[in-house]
Amino acid sequence: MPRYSYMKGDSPLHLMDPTWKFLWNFLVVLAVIVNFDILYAALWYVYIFVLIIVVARIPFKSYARAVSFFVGIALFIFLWVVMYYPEGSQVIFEWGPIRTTMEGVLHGVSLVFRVMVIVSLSVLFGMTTDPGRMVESMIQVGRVPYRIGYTAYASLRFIPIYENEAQVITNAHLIRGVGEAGKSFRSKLKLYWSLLVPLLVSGIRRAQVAAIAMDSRAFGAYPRRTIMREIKVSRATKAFVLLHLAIAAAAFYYYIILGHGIQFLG
Amino acid sequence: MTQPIVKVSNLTYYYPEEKEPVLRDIDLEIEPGEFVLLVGPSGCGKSTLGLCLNGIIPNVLGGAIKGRVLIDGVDTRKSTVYELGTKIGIVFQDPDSQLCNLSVEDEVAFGPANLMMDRQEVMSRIDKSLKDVGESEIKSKLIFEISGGQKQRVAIASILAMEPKVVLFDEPTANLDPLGAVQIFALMKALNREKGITIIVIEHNVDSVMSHADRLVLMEDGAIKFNGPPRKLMQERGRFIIDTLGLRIPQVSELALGMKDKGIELSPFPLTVEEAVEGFDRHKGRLEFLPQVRDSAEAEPRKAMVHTDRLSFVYPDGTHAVKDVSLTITEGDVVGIVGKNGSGKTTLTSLLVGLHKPSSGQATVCGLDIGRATTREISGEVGYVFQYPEHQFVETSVSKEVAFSLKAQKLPAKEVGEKVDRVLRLLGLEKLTEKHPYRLSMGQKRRLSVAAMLILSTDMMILDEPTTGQDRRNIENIMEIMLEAKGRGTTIVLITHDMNLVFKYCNRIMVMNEGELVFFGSKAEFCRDFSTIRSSALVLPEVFKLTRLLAERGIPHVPQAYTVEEFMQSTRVR
Repeated sequence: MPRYSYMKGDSPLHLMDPTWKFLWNFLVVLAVIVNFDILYAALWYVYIFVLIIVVARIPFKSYARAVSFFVGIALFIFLWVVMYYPEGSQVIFEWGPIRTTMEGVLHGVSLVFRVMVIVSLSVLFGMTTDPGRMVESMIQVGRVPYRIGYTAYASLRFIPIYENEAQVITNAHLIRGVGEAGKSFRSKLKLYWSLLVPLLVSGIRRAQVAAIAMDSRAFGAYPRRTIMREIKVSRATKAFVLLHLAIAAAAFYYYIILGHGIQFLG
Repeated sequence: MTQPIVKVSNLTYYYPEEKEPVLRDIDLEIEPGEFVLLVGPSGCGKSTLGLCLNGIIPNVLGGAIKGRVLIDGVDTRKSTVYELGTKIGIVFQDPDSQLCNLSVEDEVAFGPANLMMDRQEVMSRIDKSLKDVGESEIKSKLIFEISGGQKQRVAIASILAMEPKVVLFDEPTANLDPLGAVQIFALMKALNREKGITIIVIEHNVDSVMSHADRLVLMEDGAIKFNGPPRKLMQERGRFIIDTLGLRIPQVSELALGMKDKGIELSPFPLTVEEAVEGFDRHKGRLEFLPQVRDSAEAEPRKAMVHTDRLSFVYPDGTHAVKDVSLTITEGDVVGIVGKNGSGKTTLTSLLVGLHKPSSGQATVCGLDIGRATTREISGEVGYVFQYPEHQFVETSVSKEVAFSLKAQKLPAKEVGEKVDRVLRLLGLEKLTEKHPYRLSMGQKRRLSVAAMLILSTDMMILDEPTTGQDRRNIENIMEIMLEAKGRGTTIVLITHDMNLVFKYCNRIMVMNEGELVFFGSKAEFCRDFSTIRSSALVLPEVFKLTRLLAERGIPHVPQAYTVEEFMQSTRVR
C-alpha cells in the first residue's frame, strides 16, 4: 500500500483544483524557505498541520504513518547539523571534531520544521487529490499536451496490475526455490533480482498492446481532443492561492531583498 | 455486386529485422455483413494479419510489406491509423492491457474524443455503445471495479463508439470463464445480425462460435490453407484440421466425423448440439448403445493427499478470498477446479502450497501441515505450474531451467544431467537445450514450465490454467504428459475455464464461488446437480447435452458420455 494514497473526501482541500493546489504548494514552500527563524518555520508548520487535520479531516494516524519515514530523516539532519556546526560563537559542547553551538541547535530545529512543512504539504496533496482528476486538470488547466497526460493515466491504471503481477511472479519463484520470504537479506535480494526480467518482459508486452489499442482508437490524431468534463476553477480557490502568492512575494521581498531574514549561514 | 469491405491481395509481410515472412501471399475478400472465423495453430500469423487490416502494420510497427490491403476501398498504406479506426476496430485478448482510462465512460469516449467530435455527439455515442453491449448501468463505474467479462464488453463498446464497419476480435474469450465466453459470442452474433457489422473472429475455443460464422478461414504457416463455409470445411476437412493442423472443431462435428467412419452420415453435417440431435434422431433405428463399463477402482479406500478443515483466507485489504473450505483429495485423483474469475480458485491452491498462511482453519498436504511448513518444504512434495510460463522462468537456457529445480536436492552432476535429458526428451524439447526460455514458442514455453516441475517427480501437481491461449495440440500434449504422471500415482489438481478439458481428463470436479466451495463431486454428480450449483460461470459439455437431449427424445439406453471418445466407444451401428 502506498503511504500517500488518495483518501476520498469533500473538504475544500479535496475540492480544490489539483493544478492550482500544486501551485499553492509551491508558493508555501517558497515562503517557508526564505527565512531561517524558528518561530517563523514553526508557525508555517502549525498552519499546514491544522489544514491537514482540521480542514482536510485526515485522521492523525494516517498522517503520522505517512510522515513517519520523513520524521526519521528530519531527525537525522537535525543531529548532523547540531553535531558539527562550524559557525556560531555560543559553544555548548566541544569534543574532537564535534562542536555544538547554540546557533547550530537553532538552525537544526528550524531545518526540521521546514522539512516537515514540505513533507506535510506533499502528504496533504497526495491524500486529498484524486489522481484521475489531477491528470484531467493537468491537461485542461495546466495545458499539458494530452499525449503526455495520458501517459500519466496509463501508469495510474497499470501500477496496480504490475504490483499484482510482481506478487504472482514472486510466488512462482518462491515455489521454484529462489529465495524464501522473510529470510536473509541476501535471499530477498536474489528474489527481487529474479523478478526483474519477467516483469520487464510482460511490462513491455502489455505496453505494446496498450499502445496498439490506443493507436487503433485514433490516439494522437490531432493536437487536442474533445474535453468531456470542463474543469471550472472556483473563485475561492483562486482567491486562496492568490493570497498565498501575496504572502510569498512579501516574505521574499522582506527577508531576501531587504535582508531582514535571520541567516545562520554567514 | 457490392464491393468487398476487406480486400487483401498478395499480402506478404516481414516483421522488422526478420528474414522469414510471417504472412505469405495472403488473398482474402470479405463481404459487408459477413461473420468470418479465422483459426490456425499458435504462431501461424493470424494476429499479424489482424494488425495488417487496421493499418497498425505497417504504419506503426514497420517491417517490409508486399501486396495490398483495402478496407472499405481505402488502401491501408495510403491512409492513417486513425482514419482506419473509423472503419475497422480490434478487440484484444487481455481486457486489462487494452483499456487505458480510469472510468468506463472515459474509456468509451476515448476514440470519438480523439477524433475531436463535439461533446454532445461523444455523449450520445457513449450511451448508444454501452447499450449495444448491454452494460448501460456500469457507465459511471471505474475500470478496476468491474469484472473481466464486463471489461471485455467495455472494450467492445469503446470500439463501437468509433462506429466501425468491421470489428475484429483477437481471442476475445481466452481470459474469460465459460459463460462469459458464451455471452461474448452471443454479443458478436447480435452485432452482426442486428447492426450489420462485419465480424472477424480469431479464436481457439470454437465450440460455440462455429455455428455463427458464415465463413471459416484456416491459416497455417502464414498462409491461408482453407477458406469456405464452416459446415463444408468441417465435413470435408475436419479430420485434417484436427489431426494435421492440431486444432479444435466443435465436439458435435468431431462426433459426426466418427459416426461417418461407422457408416452413418448425419445430415446436415452438425455444428451445434441441436443439429446433431436432429441428425441422430433420423438414424435412431440403426443406433445401438452398449452398456457402459464402470471402473470399480472407487471400491478400495485411498490415501488422502490433501485434507482441509474449514480453511479460510482473508487478504490484508479485507477480501475474504477463501471461506470455510473443507475437502479431501485422495491419491490418484485428477481434480478440476472451476468457477468465475476471482472466485478464490488460485488463492485456495496458493494456500495448499504455503504461499499464503490460512487466516483460520487448517489443512494438511502430503502429510505436511500448511500452517507450519514453509513453501520450500511443501514444494518438495507438490509441483505447481503457473498460468503464464514466463512467470516461473529463472534461468538462461532450457536445460539450466530444468536442472534448476533439482538444485535443492544436491544431486551429483551426472545424475542431474541424465534426469534433465530424460524429461526434455519426454516433452520434445531435447533439440532446444541451449535456447533462452524466453525465445521459445508459446507451446514450447508451456512444455518447459511443465518439464521444470515434472523433473521433481512430486506426489502431487497443481496446474493453474495451463491451457490459456494454447491450441489443441499443445493442450493435448500437456495433458497426455499429466496422464503419464498420474499413471505413476501423481495426484493432479487443475484450475481451468475449459469445461471440455475437465470432462476429458478429470474424475472429480470442484466448483468455487465467492470463496466458497459450492460443489465437489464426480462428473455424473456435477451434471445431475448442474442447475442447482451456485455459480454463474459454468456450462455443460456439448456431448453431454447431446446425450441428454437424445434421451429426452425417447431413444433408449443413451449412454452418459461427456467426451467424443466416450460417446463413440459406447455407440454401435446396426
